[in-house]
Amino acid sequence: MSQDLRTEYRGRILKAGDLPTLPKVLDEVNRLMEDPNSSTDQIAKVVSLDQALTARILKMVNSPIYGFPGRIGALPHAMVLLGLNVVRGVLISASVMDMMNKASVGLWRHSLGCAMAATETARVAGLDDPEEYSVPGLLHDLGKMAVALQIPELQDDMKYLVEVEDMTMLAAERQLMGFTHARVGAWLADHWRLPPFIKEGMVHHHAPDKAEHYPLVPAVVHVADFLVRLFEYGSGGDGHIPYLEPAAVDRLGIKFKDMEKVMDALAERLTQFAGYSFS
Amino acid sequence: MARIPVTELKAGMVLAEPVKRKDGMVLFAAGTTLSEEGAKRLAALGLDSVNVSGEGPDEGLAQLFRERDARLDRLFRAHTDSAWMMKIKERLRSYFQKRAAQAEKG
Repeated sequence: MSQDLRTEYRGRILKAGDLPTLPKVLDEVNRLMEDPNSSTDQIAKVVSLDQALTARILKMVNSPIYGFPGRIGALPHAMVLLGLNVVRGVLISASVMDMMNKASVGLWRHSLGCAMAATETARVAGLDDPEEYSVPGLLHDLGKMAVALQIPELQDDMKYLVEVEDMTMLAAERQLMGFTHARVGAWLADHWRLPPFIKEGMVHHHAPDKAEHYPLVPAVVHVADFLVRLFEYGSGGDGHIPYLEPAAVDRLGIKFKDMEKVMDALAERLTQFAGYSFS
Repeated sequence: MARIPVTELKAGMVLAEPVKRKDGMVLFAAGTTLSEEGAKRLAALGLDSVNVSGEGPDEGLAQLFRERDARLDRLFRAHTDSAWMMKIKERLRSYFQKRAAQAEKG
């Protein structure tokens, strides 16, 4: 793999105009979140100016990802239940959703499943605010989607390596591009200035012990990814289950019994995604 | 989980999935424990049946777990050299078989 080709691919993936732009309202939300004097109501007001976005946020918080028993009908309620970080994450997700869906329905389903599994994994691991892990779970394979959309001519070769040569997606990406979707995830996270909590989940979900600031996030996403692949809900791009890193399991301090609880939730709730659309 | 005709709903039963109006508005959330009043209201909605948690065998769930069990060898084919992954696979196998049997019994 020549350096030139890698640079060219990188440029194409990040080509402005082709990637979705994050809504302006996000800047305002970020600013308000950093301001200790701002209130939840203020933030809700800013977000609700964009009605389409608000509708998507509510659809998402009412989705099986979180499994709340009642219906959440208003933004302020969602913010209290899920916390501002989750709402901000959902805001980001709502903006890239179309791209994800367009790139591959299978991958989009896999991502939804992973968001649910990440929330449940964080819960059984006893982590604070388990819902916050849904966003890195949802976005962990964003790099795959960007590659599919921005460098479409690689898809045939990718398919050949995965289906005929029985390679993993990760290995096929390395061979064809010289980098993987995890690296692409890092570029996208920088491009959109995503919070480090989300970025580390995207970048290190295959090597969770490499995370610098939020090691729990990639550990959660790693285990969640493994479990969703186990259920073969949607498609992670190849027909393999990834290696389950013992370090990730240790980091979370979970036992097999805890993973059973996550699998119980997946078995019950994954089917509820059928026919679910966020548009 | 089992499908119960609305005429046979009783107070205390727990809805396994949300009951929605045609336009998508949720009338009863999943996990709602029905009151006598709620059961009557549901019966009046004109639905045939609803899914209720924990009532009788759940064929769908049993099948899901049996399928997972059947797919294990294929999914783990790249990890046959790893004692750790083979151990995980066998733990998963017993879990899927146990859950399939439980779902069949109801």
